Amino acid sequence: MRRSAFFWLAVLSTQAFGPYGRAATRPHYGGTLHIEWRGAVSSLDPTEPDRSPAALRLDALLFDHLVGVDDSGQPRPALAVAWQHDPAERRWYFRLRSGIRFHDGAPLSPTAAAAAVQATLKGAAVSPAADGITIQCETPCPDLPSELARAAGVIFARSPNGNISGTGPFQVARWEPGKHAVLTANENYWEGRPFLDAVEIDMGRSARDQLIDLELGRADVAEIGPGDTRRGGERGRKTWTSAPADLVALVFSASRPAEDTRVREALALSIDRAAIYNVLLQRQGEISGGLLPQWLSGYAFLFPTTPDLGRARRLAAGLPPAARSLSLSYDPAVPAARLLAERIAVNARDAGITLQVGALNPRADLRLVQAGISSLDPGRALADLSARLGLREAAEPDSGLPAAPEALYAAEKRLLEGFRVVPLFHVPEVCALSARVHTWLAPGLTRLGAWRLADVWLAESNP
Amino acid sequence: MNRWCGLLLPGLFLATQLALTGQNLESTARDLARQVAAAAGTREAVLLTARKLSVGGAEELDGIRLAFEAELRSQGMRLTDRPGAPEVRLTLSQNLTSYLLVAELGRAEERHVLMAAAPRQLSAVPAVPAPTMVLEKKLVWEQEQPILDLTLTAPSGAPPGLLILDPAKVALYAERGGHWEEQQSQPVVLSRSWPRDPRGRLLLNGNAFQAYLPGTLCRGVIQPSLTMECHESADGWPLEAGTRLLGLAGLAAGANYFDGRVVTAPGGARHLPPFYSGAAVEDQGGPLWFFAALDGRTYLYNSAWEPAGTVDQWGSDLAGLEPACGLGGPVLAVRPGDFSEPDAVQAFTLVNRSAVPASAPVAFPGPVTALWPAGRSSAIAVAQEPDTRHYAAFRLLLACGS
Repeated sequence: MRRSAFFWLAVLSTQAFGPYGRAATRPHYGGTLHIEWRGAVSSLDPTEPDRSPAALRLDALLFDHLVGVDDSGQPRPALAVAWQHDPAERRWYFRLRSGIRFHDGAPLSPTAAAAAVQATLKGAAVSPAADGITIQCETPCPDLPSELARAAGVIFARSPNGNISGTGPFQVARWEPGKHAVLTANENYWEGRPFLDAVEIDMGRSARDQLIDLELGRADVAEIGPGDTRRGGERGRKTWTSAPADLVALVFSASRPAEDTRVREALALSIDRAAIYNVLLQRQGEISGGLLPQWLSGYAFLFPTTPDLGRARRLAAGLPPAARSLSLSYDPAVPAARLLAERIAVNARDAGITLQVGALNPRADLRLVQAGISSLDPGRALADLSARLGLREAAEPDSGLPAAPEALYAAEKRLLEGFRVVPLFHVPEVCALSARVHTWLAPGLTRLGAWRLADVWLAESNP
Repeated sequence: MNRWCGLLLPGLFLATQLALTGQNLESTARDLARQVAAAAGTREAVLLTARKLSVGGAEELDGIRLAFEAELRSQGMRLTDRPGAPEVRLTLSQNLTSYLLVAELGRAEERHVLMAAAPRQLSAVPAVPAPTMVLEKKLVWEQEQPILDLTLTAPSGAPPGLLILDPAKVALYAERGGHWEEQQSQPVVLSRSWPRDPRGRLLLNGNAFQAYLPGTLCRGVIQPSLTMECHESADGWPLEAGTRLLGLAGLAAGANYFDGRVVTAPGGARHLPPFYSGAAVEDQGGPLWFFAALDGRTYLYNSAWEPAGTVDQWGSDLAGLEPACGLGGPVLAVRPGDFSEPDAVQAFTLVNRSAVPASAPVAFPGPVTALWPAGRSSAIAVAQEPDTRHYAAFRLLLACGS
């Protein structure tokens, strides 16, 4: 018998499948995943306005939406299994999945679902129905399922003592606001119990500390900023990478000087994106002259990205000295923001523009921002982005942006015409992983950077 | 009509779709050329350049350019190679849902941009050569929901059909005009919620079928109409070598693996370490068992249930077939690895009680999520397509020869 076993190993290692590591394809149950984040989440309330990226990540683990989206951004059933509308697309009926319970054990009733949707959906009346909810919009709302797949459709219940309960794949076991969270698997999750038993999240950890903890085996998942890519991915370490969906851009303050289009254009033309991309971003993501990334719009290549220092100098030379001196603010929480801002200041100086770089300056003439794409629907993503960058009036998102690429391109071109916002790059979210982290049938990050931990499993966990 | 003819139809459908993609793009290119001709409004010769920012073959761009160029000419536009002539720049780009053809006329401030979109279709999968035995892969069915198992039906005197088990239903399809059409379906009702990584097994015996599901057993018939009843059950799932039932194994509650209880007839019950899949092949007059355990190894047991070795290089799904081509019983095994890598299934056969690769690996673009025996020398493999996330069921047929 021993000889037989030895022969098996010898033959198989040389002829079968090639040099693959030893790992089962099917996932294991059990174990605790240790995660570290830069961001600090202070509230579990998913209805809180302006949720930070870290808070949205946490929301995705704890809460479900009435409607989900597939990988191409199309609505798909989630807590609602079906929906229909009247011919005018004003009155909608969403039928609820049966047997769903909140983490506190209460059933997801039509009344509870209606209360949750009403709390987040503006311009509509929501009421419980027999086995679902009815939504009456003030005006036709053909995109209501897509709207409910976003913040407006998050389903939660608030107990009399103020505690918030979701129906998501994980539930809160311990919560220290801004510092630490322990989540445990929802045993009765409607999409199947997560493979992990628990997730421990340490918040407010610097990128450096995260990488050290990853090296020492104290963390399984660490965020990697653009400047840390090589270190995080060294020795063949596995990573999760989203699509390059975070826009890095300069945004001029609407209430400050720099109202002269010429100085904005001169600054835009002075920036050597390629050099920054190669050196500071270590070629992560893509150079971009558009608000939407190329993979989402298909037309971003039409927006120019190459510097034109000659024209930048001519434009700047025509300005009074005071107009050529601007302040640039960056958010130190954004990876590599200071380095990017300083490099942009060097480029600007070459064009005759002085940029005073400082962190979190509320009175700055312009800001270096990083803003995520909120939807896989290009029209919706552009409307959201323009609103968040203060370009709302130009995009007219409430009237609905046209979906045809040519019309969308025209709308985006109009938004960029005054150089109030200067897109620079689209960067991905990247996480470095310990060797024991695996995922099943879906990557750990969605295209837009949302975490999909229900499909994560750990190699050495006991079943 | 050969009973397998229907199986080829989805494959043909795939090929047709690929051809249609090229036709759609060329048709879109002609539409765009007409827009360009109308917008240009000039009889001056233009310089046409074309480039590609999308994935896909260069020949795709060549076809598009030719169609675009021909339509420009038919609209009365003249083309030139002269540098400095007014330029029409054609770009094949893409976004999440569409190919995008973009035409740029003129330069910089004067530039006029026109676009036309065509839906994106499937990509082709490269074939893998087979050196010894041939493991053929034929697409049977593709759908958005996970396919747990699938079997062909051929009740006497009735046309061939397809019975598909997914987490929501058992559906019966019939061949109509070259493709499968759903005829009837029965909902699957589980006694508790599905585990993640759902698994299921479908066994057809004449007119009757059994669907093994986590904690649930469904029994039904396909004629005169599809009927089915499900009830809570801890019954073991079948362990087979081809068409021969060799034992039963119990699926762990709420999980995606078998708990290690194996019942053979005759022989009684055994307790083994938990495993994802088991297979048995006939070897020297008795079964040789293979169990893909949770630690990533496959453990072997002889007919007396004595340990007979381990294999490190297999994944977690195995299927045992019946002896073929004068060789020992073949086992199909998936490749180990993560879901994010392309997967493969390979046949191994017994030579002097040792397994050696018997075929080249058959590649799948995404992970194999189910592998079950489906006849003396065939199996059903289900793989997830990485781009669309749809599930495709393939029939794997092991044939002699190289």
